[in-house]
Amino acid sequence: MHIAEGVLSPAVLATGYALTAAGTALGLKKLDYDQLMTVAILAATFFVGSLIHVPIGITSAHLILNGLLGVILGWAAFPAILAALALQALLFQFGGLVVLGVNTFTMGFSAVVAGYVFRGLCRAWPTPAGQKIAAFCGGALGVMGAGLLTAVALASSDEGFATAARLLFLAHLPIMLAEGLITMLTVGFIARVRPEMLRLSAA
Amino acid sequence: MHSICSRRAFSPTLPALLSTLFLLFTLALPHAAQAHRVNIFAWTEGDQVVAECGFNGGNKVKQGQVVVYDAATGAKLQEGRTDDQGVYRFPVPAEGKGHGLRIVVKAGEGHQNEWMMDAAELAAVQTPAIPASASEAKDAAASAAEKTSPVTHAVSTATPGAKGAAAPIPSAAGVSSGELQTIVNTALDVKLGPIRRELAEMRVSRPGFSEIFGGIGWLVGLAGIALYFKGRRG
Repeated sequence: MHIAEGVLSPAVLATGYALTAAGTALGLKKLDYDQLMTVAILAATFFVGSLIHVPIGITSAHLILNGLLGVILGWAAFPAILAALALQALLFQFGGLVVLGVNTFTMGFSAVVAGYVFRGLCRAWPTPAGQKIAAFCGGALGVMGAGLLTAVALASSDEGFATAARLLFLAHLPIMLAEGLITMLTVGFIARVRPEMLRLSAA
Repeated sequence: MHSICSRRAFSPTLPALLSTLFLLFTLALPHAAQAHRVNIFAWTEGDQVVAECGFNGGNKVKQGQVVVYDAATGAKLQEGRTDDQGVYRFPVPAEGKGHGLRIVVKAGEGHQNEWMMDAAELAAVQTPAIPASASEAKDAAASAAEKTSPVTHAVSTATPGAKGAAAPIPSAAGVSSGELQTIVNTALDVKLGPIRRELAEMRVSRPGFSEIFGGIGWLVGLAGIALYFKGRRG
């Protein structure tokens, strides 16, 4: 899901940075003291998650875990993803600093949307089973949204929206399933051990 | 269930569990590692440039688009697709010898990477038959290589009998210095090819444990700094 340097036009890159700046500012504003360490740990999980490679079919897609971040952190997923992606660009040469804005927005915004979907479903269906399904949807939606937004960003490149969207969706289908399950298990665990961390009543 | 509930008061449990979770992930790395970045590396082999493209996971880029640009002027010189081994070969363009080459691979889905090739590396390629086109040069190399085998054959048959010793000398002398150079170059290319490939591959960096743990350290450190400032403010 990391777009490489030199693919996008300056206009798309600048838009990406502007949207990322807005999202990060909002995320930092909503971030409170108690949440800081959770943000750091989840940012580290996101940072490492991209190295876990799911070998299905001929494509080589990796975990993204942005849905998990969105479900647990809400808007605070933005600064977490920004920091993790910056380090991935510097240390692993995934993506790059020029496209950092676009990449953060595609993964960060879909994370926030996944978080809202999770909270909405949890409120509509406040049972343990409902929570499980909500968490699965959150995890899977994070990946799908990131793929969709990446395809939008690539729409102006020579690849075009339709081709990119189709390829990204097919390549990430197993990832969506895997991340749905990971998010479901993690949320289930947190709900048992520290339910206040999910902030279901607050949001 | 009871023990879990009693742990609820002990706040560091969850961060500790989460961190062990991603530590387990990192321990699973050596075999499952590496992600979705496209790599390209190129080296010269005979009169050709060989570019090999692969994803970090070890998969080859099949039918990926490769575009070759003049490094100085940016003009497009060559375009093609990789085979199923992720390899694209092309003859060294004349422009590349003066300016160097920029080889770009576009693997789709926003994956792109490039490899710079020095003019110096390309200029050293194929000294004897510069005016000949790439295919002609190849033929020349092949025929020269054929010529070598009768020579060696003659030597091996000649050695037992001292009388025939004179026979190989004229035929060895019949090889012109230009042909000899081509023969030596071909032999050197065969021997040096794998080494060049390995050297080129080494220039592609892959994330190791120092990068992974360095990154995790950075993130925790950043949170620590934020906590410190927030704590000071009260």
